[in-house]
Amino acid sequence: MEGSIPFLVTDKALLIKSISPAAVELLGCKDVLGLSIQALLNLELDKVDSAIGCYKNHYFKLYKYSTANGYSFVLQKSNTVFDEGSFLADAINSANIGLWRYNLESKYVYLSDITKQFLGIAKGVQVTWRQLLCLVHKDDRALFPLFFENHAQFSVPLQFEFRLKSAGQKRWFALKGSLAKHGALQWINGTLQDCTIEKNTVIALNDADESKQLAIEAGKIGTWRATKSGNLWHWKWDMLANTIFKLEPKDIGDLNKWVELLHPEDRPKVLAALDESLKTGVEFKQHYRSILKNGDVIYVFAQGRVGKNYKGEHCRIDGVCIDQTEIHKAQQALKELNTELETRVNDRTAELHKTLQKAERANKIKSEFLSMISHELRTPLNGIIGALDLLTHCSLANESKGLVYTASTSANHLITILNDLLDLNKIEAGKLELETVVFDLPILLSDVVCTFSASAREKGISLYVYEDLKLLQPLKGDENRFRQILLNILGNAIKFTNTEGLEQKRITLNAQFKQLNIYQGEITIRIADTGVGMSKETINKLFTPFTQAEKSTTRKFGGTGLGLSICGKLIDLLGGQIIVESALHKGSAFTIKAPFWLDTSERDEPAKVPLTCYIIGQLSFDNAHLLTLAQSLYDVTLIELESGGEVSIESAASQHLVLSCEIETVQFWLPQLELLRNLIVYTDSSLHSQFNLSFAQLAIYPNQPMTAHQLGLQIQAQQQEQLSMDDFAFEAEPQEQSVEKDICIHDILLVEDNPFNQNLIKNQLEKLGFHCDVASNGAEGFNYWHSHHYKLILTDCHMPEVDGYEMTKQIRTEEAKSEQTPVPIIAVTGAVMQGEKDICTSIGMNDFLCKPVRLTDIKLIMERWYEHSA
Amino acid sequence: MSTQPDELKTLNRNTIIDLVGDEPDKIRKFHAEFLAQAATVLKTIVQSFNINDFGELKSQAHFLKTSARAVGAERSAYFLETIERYSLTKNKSAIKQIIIKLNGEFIAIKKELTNGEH
Repeated sequence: MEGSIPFLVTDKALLIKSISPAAVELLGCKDVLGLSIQALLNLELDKVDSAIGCYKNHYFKLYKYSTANGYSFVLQKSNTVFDEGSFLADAINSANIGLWRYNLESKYVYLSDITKQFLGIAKGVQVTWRQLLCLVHKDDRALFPLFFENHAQFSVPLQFEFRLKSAGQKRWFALKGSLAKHGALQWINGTLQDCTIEKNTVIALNDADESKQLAIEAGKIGTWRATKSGNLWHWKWDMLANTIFKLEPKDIGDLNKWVELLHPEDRPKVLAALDESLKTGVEFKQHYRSILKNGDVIYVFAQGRVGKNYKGEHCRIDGVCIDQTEIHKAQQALKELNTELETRVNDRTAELHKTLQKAERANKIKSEFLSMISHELRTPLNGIIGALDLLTHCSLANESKGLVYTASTSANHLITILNDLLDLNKIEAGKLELETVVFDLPILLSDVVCTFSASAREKGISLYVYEDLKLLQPLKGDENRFRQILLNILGNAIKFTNTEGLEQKRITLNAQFKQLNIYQGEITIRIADTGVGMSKETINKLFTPFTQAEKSTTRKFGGTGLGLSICGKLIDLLGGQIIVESALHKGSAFTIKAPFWLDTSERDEPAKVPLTCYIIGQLSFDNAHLLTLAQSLYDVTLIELESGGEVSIESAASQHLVLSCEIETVQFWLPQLELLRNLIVYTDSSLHSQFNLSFAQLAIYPNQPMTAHQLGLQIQAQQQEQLSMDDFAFEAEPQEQSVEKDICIHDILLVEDNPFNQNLIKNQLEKLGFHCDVASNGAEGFNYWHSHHYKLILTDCHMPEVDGYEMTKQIRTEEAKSEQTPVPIIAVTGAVMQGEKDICTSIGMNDFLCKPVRLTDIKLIMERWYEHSA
Repeated sequence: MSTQPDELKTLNRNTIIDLVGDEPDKIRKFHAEFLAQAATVLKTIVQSFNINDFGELKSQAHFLKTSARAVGAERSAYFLETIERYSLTKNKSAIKQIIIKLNGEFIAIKKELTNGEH
């Protein structure tokens, strides 16, 4: 420190280590080394930077400065004990103002404790000017030399803000200072204040203001305002508003300039509205036109709000104005376009209406024509079908039969199409009336299933029926139309499942009933197949007339595409619905739901007839379903039989069912089962053929496709002891069975009662180059032998009147009597019983042939007996 | 018959070929002749059944059986032979079932032959 400054240097414990000459002079003593400065000057210096002390009745003010090893105290003579510095220090401390001093020559920096706290410097640490600058944000460092030098040299006020990081946070500080001179020495003293909050507020405000300004500029929104001074309103608007009206900058604030531009038609209302707002404070909101100086008309929207002063008087109005000329033009164009469109729509609607009327007329004519032509075609077609039917009963050549078959099939198909057309016409014309008759759903279902079960079997399609009609009640409705729908959908399922290449051909029909209310019930029939399936697009057009899934469908499967269309319309009439689910190449499912009236008329429920049901082995799924059906119809007693069991089967019931899929187990119980009356065995469809042949003597039925009605019929039929001839009248083309009988002209005699066998053996002999006479029984054979010489006789054994054995005996007896050489007699028999050959030999027959006789066997016989015969 | 019942065919077309050779026209004629005979004999069988004439029943069954065997109507022949057997014991309920099945077989043969033509 300079020699002219009175100061004392102490250590940290405030013990005086040195004293400057100026201080010795000021205090008037020099033996103070080692003394405590606080004791010497009677003051407290622990936590303050300055204090007033007293020495020899003189007051001194001490300024404390920290040094590396202690403190330096600058002394200043004071006239009073009152401490101005302390007062100032308190004020500065309470205002949280940091102090600093910078010696321009020595670059020595003094920082108060608050300043150090701001800068994040520990209290006892002395920093250099360079170190201090390093703490400042790098972007703000340049401010220090700039402001300090300009202040020192040009007296430019030293006042700026800078940033630094304190306690990990960016903070703003305001630095102020001024140059102080003590003789030749120059300091800059100043303050440092944390202005982070203020600065951030200002930054945020500026940001918001800038954002608002940018938005206003982007939206081309002009702002305007007016303030009231006395009775006068002073107007002002921004450049954007000025630009909207193409006014000169000097015109800003001159309201008349704006008023002059107002469109004469809009001016009165706009000015009146503005006046009203200024007077009453009501919001100003106007759309108006302005005519610019260049003659352009602009469309403006202006809106403003009135503010009040503390007295509640309307003292200001602030608002915006927007140029909406472009929007107005666009709206105008849109309006014109809309008007044009409306006109066009009206024209088109009128045109469509005319076309619709035309189409309706045409449709009516078409319907009438179709109806008439269908009726007209049906009459001759029925004639054709009748004639063809008669033809099939006539004796025709094979080629002709084929032609008749084709013609008959085609005619029947044509009748079906005509019926469909008539139905569709009737429905479309609203002429179809539904019937309301009591009907039996199980019978209806049975009819539908029976219609297709044979064709399904032929096509290799497994048809399964599951009825769940426990809750069924007598129903009333149009049974025939409902049947028509079911026949069509099941027919389609058969048609589209009968395709080559399908892994599984299966159709399942599920039937359910539920009561809707006391008057109505709903039938739900679901027919699911594993056929070709449909795409979503196909499903959408499925119920449209004359539309089939795809063009290829008609080509491949036939049909007119009328069936489902009629079904769709019929189900609508019935008040039901058809739900279609399908996946291409996976199959389809049609769910038909239809409501029907409940028949509430009283009727007696017949008592259930007893039926004993034997389960042999594991009960299969379909046999379990059959058991449920049986239980719904009969009073069922259930008996389970296992292989190796010892139960004696005795039953008083007149009807018995066996449910089984195990041939061997049934074989085990067979002796006892055969004793039961009216026994029917039900097995899975896949085992039916095997069961049927293995137990030829038993009634065997497949358990699927099976309806409750069919089950009842089968059980009922089983009770009939006699057979009806009608059931066995299968038609066969009559044949000329009689064999041309050349009597006594050949050397071989065939004795055979069966014309078929006569023909066959005669044919076989001819094929080997032999010819024979034919006798139809033993008596005739004996007569032939008697009247002609035969080299060989072939004879059946079992024949009416005189059989082969008897004839042989007679011939051998006659031969013996007349000493003739015995003719070789060969037995040709269908009997396969053991010992048959021995019997033949014992009565004089020479050899034995078993029917049917193979060519090689006849040949051997001929070689053996004919060639060597005398 | 050594073949198991469930291995029998409704119509084994090879049988008649073995008997008369592979002559389609001749075979067709034999088939038609068999069906005509079957239709007639079946009626007689049913009549005999209804009047419990088991002797005649057995005789008719035997009569038709040889024709059935000749055309390869294996199942029909089997049923006819079974009728013959049950006629001896006059088991009417068993015969009834077999006649029903026999009828089914004849219908199946007719269908098979008809389908073969078209």
